[in-house]
Amino acid sequence: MKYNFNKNFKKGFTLVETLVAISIFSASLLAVMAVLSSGIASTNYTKTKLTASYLAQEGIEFIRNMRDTYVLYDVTSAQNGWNTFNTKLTGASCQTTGCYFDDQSLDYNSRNQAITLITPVACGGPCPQLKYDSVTGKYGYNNLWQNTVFTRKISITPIAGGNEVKVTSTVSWTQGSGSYTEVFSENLFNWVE
Amino acid sequence: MRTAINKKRGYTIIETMISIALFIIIILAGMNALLNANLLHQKSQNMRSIMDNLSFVMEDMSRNMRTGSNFHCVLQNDPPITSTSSPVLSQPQSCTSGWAVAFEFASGVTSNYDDQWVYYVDNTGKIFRATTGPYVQAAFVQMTPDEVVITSAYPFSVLGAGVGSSDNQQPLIGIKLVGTITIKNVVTPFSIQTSVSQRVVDI
Repeated sequence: MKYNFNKNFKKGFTLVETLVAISIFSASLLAVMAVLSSGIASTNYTKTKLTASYLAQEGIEFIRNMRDTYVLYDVTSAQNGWNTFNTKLTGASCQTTGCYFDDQSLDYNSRNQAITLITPVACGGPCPQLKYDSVTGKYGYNNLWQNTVFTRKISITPIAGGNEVKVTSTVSWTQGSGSYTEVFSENLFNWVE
Repeated sequence: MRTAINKKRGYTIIETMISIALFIIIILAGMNALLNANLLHQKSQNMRSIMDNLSFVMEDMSRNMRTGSNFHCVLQNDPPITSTSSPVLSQPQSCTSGWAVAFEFASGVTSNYDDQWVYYVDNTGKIFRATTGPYVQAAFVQMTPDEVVITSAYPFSVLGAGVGSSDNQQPLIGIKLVGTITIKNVVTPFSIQTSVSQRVVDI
Protein backbone atom coordinates (compact mmCIF):
# COMPACT_ATOMS: atom_id res chain seq x y z
CA MET A 1 0.00 0.00 0.00
CA LYS A 2 2.68 2.42 0.93
CA TYR A 3 4.70 1.39 -2.12
CA ASN A 4 1.81 2.18 -4.40
CA PHE A 5 1.27 5.54 -2.79
CA ASN A 6 4.89 6.45 -3.43
CA LYS A 7 4.65 5.34 -7.03
CA ASN A 8 1.83 7.77 -7.73
CA PHE A 9 4.10 10.65 -6.79
CA LYS A 10 6.74 9.69 -9.36
CA LYS A 11 7.67 12.56 -11.61
CA GLY A 12 7.01 12.48 -15.39
CA PHE A 13 5.12 14.21 -18.20
CA THR A 14 1.37 14.18 -18.23
CA LEU A 15 -0.40 13.40 -21.49
CA VAL A 16 -1.45 17.04 -21.89
CA GLU A 17 2.11 18.28 -21.49
CA THR A 18 3.32 15.81 -24.09
CA LEU A 19 0.58 16.77 -26.51
CA VAL A 20 1.33 20.48 -26.11
CA ALA A 21 5.05 19.89 -26.65
CA ILE A 22 4.47 17.79 -29.74
CA SER A 23 1.99 20.23 -31.22
CA ILE A 24 4.34 23.20 -30.73
CA PHE A 25 7.17 21.24 -32.31
CA SER A 26 5.11 20.18 -35.32
CA ALA A 27 3.64 23.65 -35.79
CA SER A 28 7.10 25.17 -36.04
CA LEU A 29 8.18 22.39 -38.38
CA LEU A 30 5.15 23.02 -40.60
CA ALA A 31 5.93 26.73 -40.74
CA VAL A 32 9.46 26.01 -41.94
CA MET A 33 8.18 23.55 -44.55
CA ALA A 34 5.61 26.06 -45.79
CA VAL A 35 8.29 28.70 -46.30
CA LEU A 36 10.50 26.24 -48.19
CA SER A 37 7.76 24.99 -50.48
CA SER A 38 6.51 28.48 -51.26
CA GLY A 39 10.07 29.33 -52.30
CA ILE A 40 10.13 26.47 -54.78
CA ALA A 41 6.63 27.27 -56.02
CA SER A 42 7.46 30.91 -56.63
CA THR A 43 10.57 29.97 -58.62
CA ASN A 44 8.37 27.84 -60.83
CA TYR A 45 5.83 30.62 -61.04
CA THR A 46 8.53 33.05 -62.18
CA LYS A 47 9.45 30.74 -65.03
CA THR A 48 5.87 30.34 -66.22
CA LYS A 49 5.17 34.04 -65.84
CA LEU A 50 8.19 34.88 -67.98
CA THR A 51 6.91 32.61 -70.75
CA ALA A 52 3.40 34.02 -70.39
CA SER A 53 4.52 37.63 -70.57
CA TYR A 54 6.39 37.09 -73.82
CA LEU A 55 3.40 35.29 -75.29
CA ALA A 56 1.16 38.18 -74.24
CA GLN A 57 3.52 40.66 -75.85
CA GLU A 58 3.45 38.58 -79.01
CA GLY A 59 -0.34 38.97 -79.21
CA ILE A 60 0.04 42.74 -79.17
CA GLU A 61 2.81 42.66 -81.77
CA PHE A 62 0.69 40.63 -84.20
CA ILE A 63 -2.10 43.19 -84.08
CA ARG A 64 0.35 46.07 -84.30
CA ASN A 65 2.00 44.48 -87.31
CA MET A 66 -1.43 44.06 -88.93
CA ARG A 67 -2.20 47.73 -88.33
CA ASP A 68 1.07 48.85 -89.94
CA THR A 69 0.79 46.48 -92.88
CA TYR A 70 -2.80 47.50 -93.59
CA VAL A 71 -2.10 51.20 -93.35
CA LEU A 72 1.09 51.00 -95.42
CA TYR A 73 0.08 48.65 -98.17
CA ASP A 74 -3.64 49.00 -98.78
CA VAL A 75 -3.87 49.50 -102.51
CA THR A 76 -6.82 51.89 -102.35
CA SER A 77 -5.78 54.33 -99.65
CA ALA A 78 -4.13 54.37 -96.26
CA GLN A 79 -7.37 55.48 -94.63
CA ASN A 80 -9.05 52.50 -96.19
CA GLY A 81 -6.29 50.34 -94.73
CA TRP A 82 -7.06 51.56 -91.24
CA ASN A 83 -10.77 50.95 -91.80
CA THR A 84 -10.19 47.44 -93.14
CA PHE A 85 -7.99 46.71 -90.15
CA ASN A 86 -10.81 47.73 -87.82
CA THR A 87 -13.42 45.81 -89.79
CA LYS A 88 -11.30 42.67 -89.60
CA LEU A 89 -10.97 42.95 -85.85
CA THR A 90 -14.64 43.64 -85.20
CA GLY A 91 -15.57 40.94 -87.70
CA ALA A 92 -13.72 38.46 -85.52
CA SER A 93 -15.64 39.61 -82.44
CA CYS A 94 -12.42 40.95 -80.91
CA GLN A 95 -14.34 43.59 -79.02
CA THR A 96 -16.97 41.26 -77.60
CA THR A 97 -15.92 37.68 -76.93
CA GLY A 98 -12.27 38.24 -77.77
CA CYS A 99 -10.27 36.67 -80.56
CA TYR A 100 -7.01 34.89 -81.22
CA PHE A 101 -4.44 35.13 -83.95
CA ASP A 102 -3.32 31.93 -85.63
CA ASP A 103 -0.04 32.46 -87.46
CA GLN A 104 0.18 28.85 -88.62
CA SER A 105 -0.36 29.69 -92.28
CA LEU A 106 2.03 32.62 -92.20
CA ASP A 107 4.65 31.70 -94.79
CA TYR A 108 7.78 33.48 -93.64
CA ASN A 109 9.68 32.48 -96.75
CA SER A 110 7.32 34.00 -99.27
CA ARG A 111 7.89 37.56 -100.37
CA ASN A 112 4.21 37.94 -101.17
CA GLN A 113 3.04 36.75 -97.81
CA ALA A 114 1.39 39.51 -95.84
CA ILE A 115 -0.04 39.28 -92.38
CA THR A 116 -3.17 40.92 -93.77
CA LEU A 117 -4.05 37.64 -95.51
CA ILE A 118 -4.71 36.15 -92.11
CA THR A 119 -7.88 36.96 -90.26
CA PRO A 120 -8.08 36.82 -86.49
CA VAL A 121 -10.47 34.13 -85.32
CA ALA A 122 -13.28 34.74 -82.87
CA CYS A 123 -12.92 32.79 -79.65
CA GLY A 124 -16.67 32.24 -79.36
CA GLY A 125 -16.71 31.22 -75.74
CA PRO A 126 -13.48 30.43 -73.95
CA CYS A 127 -10.42 30.97 -76.17
CA PRO A 128 -8.59 27.83 -77.30
CA GLN A 129 -5.47 26.76 -75.47
CA LEU A 130 -2.15 27.44 -77.09
CA LYS A 131 -0.48 24.31 -78.42
CA TYR A 132 3.21 23.61 -78.43
CA ASP A 133 5.30 21.94 -81.10
CA SER A 134 8.09 20.11 -79.34
CA VAL A 135 10.04 19.74 -82.60
CA THR A 136 10.38 23.40 -83.52
CA GLY A 137 9.56 24.87 -80.12
CA LYS A 138 6.72 26.95 -81.49
CA TYR A 139 3.56 27.96 -79.67
CA GLY A 140 0.51 28.06 -81.90
CA TYR A 141 -2.86 26.53 -82.67
CA ASN A 142 -2.03 23.34 -84.57
CA ASN A 143 -4.24 20.59 -83.18
CA LEU A 144 -1.54 17.96 -83.66
CA TRP A 145 0.75 19.70 -81.19
CA GLN A 146 0.82 19.04 -77.49
CA ASN A 147 -1.25 21.00 -74.99
CA THR A 148 0.14 23.84 -72.92
CA VAL A 149 -1.27 25.55 -69.87
CA PHE A 150 -1.59 28.89 -71.65
CA THR A 151 -4.62 30.54 -73.22
CA ARG A 152 -4.20 33.78 -75.11
CA LYS A 153 -7.08 36.14 -75.71
CA ILE A 154 -6.85 39.33 -77.72
CA SER A 155 -9.55 41.91 -77.21
CA ILE A 156 -9.95 45.41 -78.56
CA THR A 157 -11.73 48.52 -77.37
CA PRO A 158 -12.35 51.23 -79.97
CA ILE A 159 -11.71 54.69 -78.55
CA ALA A 160 -14.11 57.53 -79.41
CA GLY A 161 -13.05 59.40 -82.53
CA GLY A 162 -12.36 56.30 -84.56
CA ASN A 163 -8.62 56.88 -84.85
CA GLU A 164 -7.54 54.91 -81.84
CA VAL A 165 -8.01 51.39 -80.63
CA LYS A 166 -6.91 49.78 -77.41
CA VAL A 167 -5.54 46.26 -77.78
CA THR A 168 -5.43 44.00 -74.76
CA SER A 169 -3.65 40.68 -74.81
CA THR A 170 -4.39 38.38 -71.91
CA VAL A 171 -2.51 35.16 -71.26
CA SER A 172 -4.05 33.03 -68.53
CA TRP A 173 -2.92 29.77 -67.04
CA THR A 174 -3.45 27.58 -64.03
CA GLN A 175 -0.58 26.38 -61.92
CA GLY A 176 -0.99 24.31 -58.80
CA SER A 177 -4.29 25.38 -57.33
CA GLY A 178 -4.14 28.97 -58.53
CA SER A 179 -5.09 30.56 -61.82
CA TYR A 180 -3.04 33.47 -63.05
CA THR A 181 -3.24 36.04 -65.81
CA GLU A 182 -0.75 38.27 -67.53
CA VAL A 183 -2.40 41.28 -69.17
CA PHE A 184 -0.64 43.57 -71.62
CA SER A 185 -2.33 46.42 -73.43
CA GLU A 186 -1.35 48.99 -75.99
CA ASN A 187 -3.15 51.80 -77.78
CA LEU A 188 -2.81 51.81 -81.55
CA PHE A 189 -3.45 54.93 -83.56
CA ASN A 190 -4.36 55.65 -87.13
CA TRP A 191 -1.12 57.37 -87.98
CA VAL A 192 -1.97 58.44 -91.54
CA GLU A 193 -3.72 61.64 -92.49
CA MET B 1 25.95 5.66 5.42
CA ARG B 2 25.37 3.49 2.42
CA THR B 3 21.63 4.14 2.37
CA ALA B 4 22.31 7.88 2.49
CA ILE B 5 24.35 7.75 -0.74
CA ASN B 6 21.73 5.67 -2.45
CA LYS B 7 19.03 8.15 -1.60
CA LYS B 8 20.91 11.01 -3.34
CA ARG B 9 19.05 12.30 -6.31
CA GLY B 10 20.61 12.45 -9.80
CA TYR B 11 20.68 10.80 -13.20
CA THR B 12 21.85 7.29 -13.68
CA ILE B 13 24.38 6.63 -16.42
CA ILE B 14 21.64 4.95 -18.49
CA GLU B 15 19.41 8.01 -18.31
CA THR B 16 22.28 10.29 -19.30
CA MET B 17 23.22 8.08 -22.23
CA ILE B 18 19.69 7.88 -23.48
CA SER B 19 19.20 11.61 -23.23
CA ILE B 20 22.48 12.33 -25.02
CA ALA B 21 21.62 9.82 -27.71
CA LEU B 22 18.22 11.39 -28.22
CA PHE B 23 19.78 14.84 -28.30
CA ILE B 24 22.31 13.80 -30.91
CA ILE B 25 19.68 12.16 -33.09
CA ILE B 26 17.42 15.18 -33.00
CA ILE B 27 20.28 17.60 -33.66
CA LEU B 28 21.50 15.49 -36.56
CA ALA B 29 18.05 15.44 -38.12
CA GLY B 30 17.69 19.15 -37.52
CA MET B 31 21.08 19.94 -39.06
CA ASN B 32 20.23 17.80 -42.02
CA ALA B 33 16.98 19.64 -42.56
CA LEU B 34 18.71 22.98 -42.16
CA LEU B 35 21.45 22.12 -44.64
CA ASN B 36 18.86 20.82 -47.07
CA ALA B 37 16.88 24.01 -46.76
CA ASN B 38 20.02 26.01 -47.40
CA LEU B 39 20.84 23.93 -50.46
CA LEU B 40 17.33 24.35 -51.76
CA HIS B 41 17.52 28.06 -51.22
CA GLN B 42 20.79 28.27 -53.10
CA LYS B 43 19.36 26.28 -55.97
CA SER B 44 16.31 28.46 -56.29
CA GLN B 45 18.47 31.57 -56.01
CA ASN B 46 20.69 30.32 -58.83
CA MET B 47 17.62 29.46 -60.83
CA ARG B 48 16.22 32.93 -60.35
CA SER B 49 19.34 34.75 -61.40
CA ILE B 50 19.56 32.57 -64.50
CA MET B 51 15.91 33.27 -65.29
CA ASP B 52 16.69 36.96 -64.86
CA ASN B 53 19.53 36.62 -67.30
CA LEU B 54 17.37 34.76 -69.80
CA SER B 55 14.71 37.42 -69.47
CA PHE B 56 17.33 40.08 -70.05
CA VAL B 57 18.65 38.37 -73.19
CA MET B 58 15.13 37.98 -74.58
CA GLU B 59 14.27 41.57 -73.73
CA ASP B 60 17.53 42.84 -75.23
CA MET B 61 16.91 40.99 -78.47
CA SER B 62 13.26 41.97 -78.80
CA ARG B 63 13.81 45.58 -77.85
CA ASN B 64 16.69 46.13 -80.26
CA MET B 65 14.96 44.32 -83.10
CA ARG B 66 11.78 46.29 -82.51
CA THR B 67 13.64 49.56 -83.00
CA GLY B 68 15.92 48.18 -85.71
CA SER B 69 15.42 47.87 -89.46
CA ASN B 70 16.80 46.18 -92.61
CA PHE B 71 16.66 42.65 -91.27
CA HIS B 72 18.81 39.94 -92.68
CA CYS B 73 18.05 36.45 -91.46
CA VAL B 74 21.00 34.09 -91.84
CA LEU B 75 19.69 30.82 -93.27
CA GLN B 76 20.44 27.27 -92.20
CA ASN B 77 22.88 26.61 -95.02
CA ASP B 78 24.58 29.99 -94.95
CA PRO B 79 28.26 30.02 -94.02
CA PRO B 80 29.40 31.27 -90.61
CA ILE B 81 29.47 35.05 -90.27
CA THR B 82 33.00 36.24 -90.94
CA SER B 83 32.46 39.67 -92.46
CA THR B 84 29.73 42.03 -93.68
CA SER B 85 29.84 40.45 -97.11
CA SER B 86 29.83 36.82 -96.04
CA PRO B 87 26.92 36.29 -95.76
CA VAL B 88 25.69 39.54 -97.29
CA LEU B 89 24.33 41.18 -94.18
CA SER B 90 23.33 44.36 -96.01
CA GLN B 91 20.64 42.61 -98.06
CA PRO B 92 17.22 42.17 -96.47
CA GLN B 93 16.41 38.49 -96.13
CA SER B 94 13.27 36.77 -94.83
CA CYS B 95 13.28 33.24 -93.49
CA THR B 96 11.23 30.66 -91.66
CA SER B 97 14.08 29.58 -89.42
CA GLY B 98 17.48 31.15 -89.25
CA TRP B 99 20.34 30.78 -86.83
CA ALA B 100 21.28 34.45 -86.87
CA VAL B 101 19.74 37.85 -87.49
CA ALA B 102 21.58 40.97 -88.60
CA PHE B 103 19.88 44.35 -88.63
CA GLU B 104 20.44 48.09 -88.64
CA PHE B 105 20.46 49.31 -85.06
CA ALA B 106 18.04 52.15 -84.17
CA SER B 107 20.77 54.80 -84.21
CA GLY B 108 22.87 53.11 -86.89
CA VAL B 109 23.86 54.67 -90.19
CA THR B 110 21.76 53.11 -92.95
CA SER B 111 24.46 53.50 -95.59
CA ASN B 112 27.06 51.83 -93.41
CA TYR B 113 26.68 48.06 -93.41
CA ASP B 114 29.53 47.52 -91.01
CA ASP B 115 27.53 48.74 -88.02
CA GLN B 116 24.77 46.15 -88.19
CA TRP B 117 23.88 44.36 -85.01
CA VAL B 118 24.10 40.58 -85.16
CA TYR B 119 22.58 38.02 -82.84
CA TYR B 120 23.32 34.36 -83.31
CA VAL B 121 23.14 31.02 -81.57
CA ASP B 122 26.29 28.94 -81.89
CA ASN B 123 26.48 25.16 -82.07
CA THR B 124 27.02 24.86 -78.31
CA GLY B 125 23.76 26.69 -77.64
CA LYS B 126 25.07 30.06 -76.52
CA ILE B 127 23.68 33.37 -77.74
CA PHE B 128 26.20 35.86 -79.05
CA ARG B 129 25.84 39.48 -80.02
CA ALA B 130 28.01 41.81 -82.07
CA THR B 131 27.27 45.51 -82.29
CA THR B 132 29.80 46.45 -84.90
CA GLY B 133 31.92 44.96 -87.64
CA PRO B 134 34.23 43.48 -88.65
CA TYR B 135 32.32 40.38 -87.69
CA VAL B 136 35.23 38.30 -86.52
CA GLN B 137 35.04 35.97 -83.55
CA ALA B 138 36.33 38.62 -81.14
CA ALA B 139 33.53 41.03 -82.03
CA PHE B 140 30.91 38.72 -80.56
CA VAL B 141 30.02 38.81 -76.89
CA GLN B 142 28.41 35.87 -75.18
CA MET B 143 25.02 36.84 -73.74
CA THR B 144 23.86 33.69 -71.99
CA PRO B 145 25.62 32.08 -69.03
CA ASP B 146 27.17 28.62 -69.33
CA GLU B 147 24.27 27.05 -67.42
CA VAL B 148 21.89 27.92 -70.25
CA VAL B 149 21.97 25.83 -73.41
CA ILE B 150 19.70 26.79 -76.28
CA THR B 151 18.65 23.63 -78.10
CA SER B 152 16.64 25.34 -80.84
CA ALA B 153 19.36 25.76 -83.42
CA TYR B 154 17.27 28.08 -85.61
CA PRO B 155 15.39 30.38 -83.26
CA PHE B 156 14.72 33.32 -85.59
CA SER B 157 12.08 33.86 -88.25
CA VAL B 158 11.69 37.03 -90.27
CA LEU B 159 8.64 37.98 -92.31
CA GLY B 160 8.61 40.79 -94.84
CA ALA B 161 12.23 41.86 -94.60
CA GLY B 162 12.23 43.60 -97.97
CA VAL B 163 11.28 47.19 -98.69
CA GLY B 164 9.13 48.71 -101.41
CA SER B 165 6.94 47.30 -104.14
CA SER B 166 8.40 43.80 -104.08
CA ASP B 167 7.35 43.38 -100.49
CA ASN B 168 4.13 44.50 -98.90
CA GLN B 169 4.58 43.55 -95.31
CA GLN B 170 5.82 45.40 -92.25
CA PRO B 171 8.71 43.28 -90.90
CA LEU B 172 7.73 40.80 -88.19
CA ILE B 173 10.43 38.88 -86.36
CA GLY B 174 9.75 35.75 -84.39
CA ILE B 175 12.11 34.56 -81.67
CA LYS B 176 11.85 31.09 -80.14
CA LEU B 177 14.22 30.18 -77.36
CA VAL B 178 14.03 26.53 -76.36
CA GLY B 179 16.63 25.01 -74.12
CA THR B 180 17.68 23.84 -70.72
CA ILE B 181 19.10 25.34 -67.57
CA THR B 182 21.52 23.01 -65.79
CA ILE B 183 22.45 23.76 -62.20
CA LYS B 184 24.37 21.07 -60.33
CA ASN B 185 22.92 18.20 -62.36
CA VAL B 186 19.38 19.51 -62.09
CA VAL B 187 18.08 20.16 -65.59
CA THR B 188 15.18 22.57 -66.04
CA PRO B 189 13.74 22.95 -69.52
CA PHE B 190 12.33 26.23 -70.77
CA SER B 191 10.62 27.44 -73.91
CA ILE B 192 10.06 31.12 -74.52
CA GLN B 193 8.56 32.61 -77.64
CA THR B 194 7.78 36.12 -78.75
CA SER B 195 7.37 38.14 -81.91
CA VAL B 196 8.28 41.73 -82.56
CA SER B 197 6.95 44.09 -85.17
CA GLN B 198 9.40 46.63 -86.54
CA ARG B 199 8.53 50.08 -85.20
CA VAL B 200 10.10 52.08 -88.02
CA VAL B 201 7.71 52.37 -90.94
CA ASP B 202 8.73 49.98 -93.70
CA ILE B 203 9.24 52.39 -96.60
